[in-house]
Amino acid sequence: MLKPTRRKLVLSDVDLVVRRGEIFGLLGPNGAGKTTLVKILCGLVAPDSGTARVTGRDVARQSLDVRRRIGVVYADERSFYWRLSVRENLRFYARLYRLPSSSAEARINELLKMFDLQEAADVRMHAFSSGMKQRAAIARGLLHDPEIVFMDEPSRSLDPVGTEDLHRVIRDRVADGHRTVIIATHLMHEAEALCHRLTLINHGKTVLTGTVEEFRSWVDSEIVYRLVVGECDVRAEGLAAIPGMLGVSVDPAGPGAISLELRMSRSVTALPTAIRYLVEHAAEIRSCTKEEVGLDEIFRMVVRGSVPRQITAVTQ
Amino acid sequence: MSLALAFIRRDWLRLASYRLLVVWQALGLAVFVGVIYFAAGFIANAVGMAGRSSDYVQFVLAGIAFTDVYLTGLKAFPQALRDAQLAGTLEPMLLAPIRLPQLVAASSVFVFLQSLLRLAIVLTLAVTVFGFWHQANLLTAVLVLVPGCLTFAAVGLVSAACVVLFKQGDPIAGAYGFLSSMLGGTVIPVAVLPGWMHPLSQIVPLTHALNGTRLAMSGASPLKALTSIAALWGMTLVLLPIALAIFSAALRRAKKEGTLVQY
Repeated sequence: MLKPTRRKLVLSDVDLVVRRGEIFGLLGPNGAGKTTLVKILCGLVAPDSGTARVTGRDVARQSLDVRRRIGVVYADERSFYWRLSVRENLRFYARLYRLPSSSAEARINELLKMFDLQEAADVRMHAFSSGMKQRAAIARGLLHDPEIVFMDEPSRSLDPVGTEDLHRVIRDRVADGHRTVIIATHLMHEAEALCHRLTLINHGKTVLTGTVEEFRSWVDSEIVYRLVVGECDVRAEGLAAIPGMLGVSVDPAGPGAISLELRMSRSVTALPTAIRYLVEHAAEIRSCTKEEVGLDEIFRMVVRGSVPRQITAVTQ
Repeated sequence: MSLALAFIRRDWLRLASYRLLVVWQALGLAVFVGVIYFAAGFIANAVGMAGRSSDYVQFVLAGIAFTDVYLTGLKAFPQALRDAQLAGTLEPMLLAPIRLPQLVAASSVFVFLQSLLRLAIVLTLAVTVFGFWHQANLLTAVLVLVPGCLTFAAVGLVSAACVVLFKQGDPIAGAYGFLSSMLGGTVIPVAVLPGWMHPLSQIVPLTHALNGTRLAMSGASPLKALTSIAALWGMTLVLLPIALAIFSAALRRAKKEGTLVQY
């Protein structure tokens, strides 16, 4: 898929399959090509070559049919008529989607209730907060009950509380198990909190595609557990002999406590055996934390180009 | 039809939300008709048409009122697109399962209705207050008005294509509107223009549209206005397919460049 804007190559070699019913993330730095990809999938931008299919339909040749089946949610607050109420805005868009008047009113009321906009339904939208506008945008995207919802940076102008609320709304009300949700975002925590699978896009190319867990296993073959236990008769050699254990280090952790760093293989689960070993040696386990590579670290590795080549080859 | 009604409702609600604007628009129209009546009478007296000053008042009133309707055809499409670009609503509208030409046409309906309402008010005042056009032939008027609006709508589509491609600085609407008003006989009869302008005025649709309209207002049958009607339909048949092709090409290019929703 190739898309030159003013002779600049925006996307190339993008190859993706999104499964029905999943929340799929398009993750990448600013300018990576996420929004362009969404616009191509919605039929707003025509690629120079390649094909894009949505629910099996070609987005270029069956554009109207595709548009009936998708909903799009923008972060851009300006996409509403602010002099009108949210109810009037939704009525207008319901007509554009050819919803019959009778069912449109019922659907609008249902959505206003679903997104906690009932009380403000007849208030002009210029009085709305960013969070309310965003909820209204989601309501509009769901008006015609689409099979697929695209969300482009849905929490862009929201504060942390608003973002958390929005994530709950997306998980509970937008993704109902049947609907596919595709989220373009540059926020790692958003992708991690919402997406079943995601793809990392950089410089217009898909670099990695999979679940967050798969990403971790690709870039880091180890799992690290850090335990703090009461002073006891535990020997590092004993723990190191457990199958799947790659390394053990023991350090003092204050009066009467020691810190254990256990590095384990992802392929062999060594933690239960290690815990049993500690319990058998009368160790009082005070804390146990899993330390793993965060998505933001993986993201930085991708952006810097430090993801091993064989991994990108496998995932594409 | 329901699509057009949705846009009419949207535009009415937006307009009604600016209450003072609605009041001023209504007042402005009444003042406009009065000014035309007295100014045209004054000009007619000044140029030695004292005995025929009401002829000139009718000429100017019809010229301005109908030019307003025709030029709405020219401006409505690019204006609708530009408004949507600036309001940020173009993209969500483009995502609805509607073809863009349909969308542009539907979003222009309210502006057309406004111009027709202005025309109706001017005509009502002219008939009831000034006693003009009691013999007007409505059939002739409609037969002229439809192709007249279509020719301007065709040029309006080319203007909309400019908005799609260049966003601002559309050379069509301003230049074409100005030339049409100058050469088409809106307030100055074509006959009094310099001789070299006459052939130019004949290729301007507004000349034929206003000729036909004035004939209709004076009670001429469709047969008497046949030259104007035929010229306008001929222009429509030539201009409309060309304009549609240009608009489609502009859309394809904007989609390729990814600039369709930029502003």
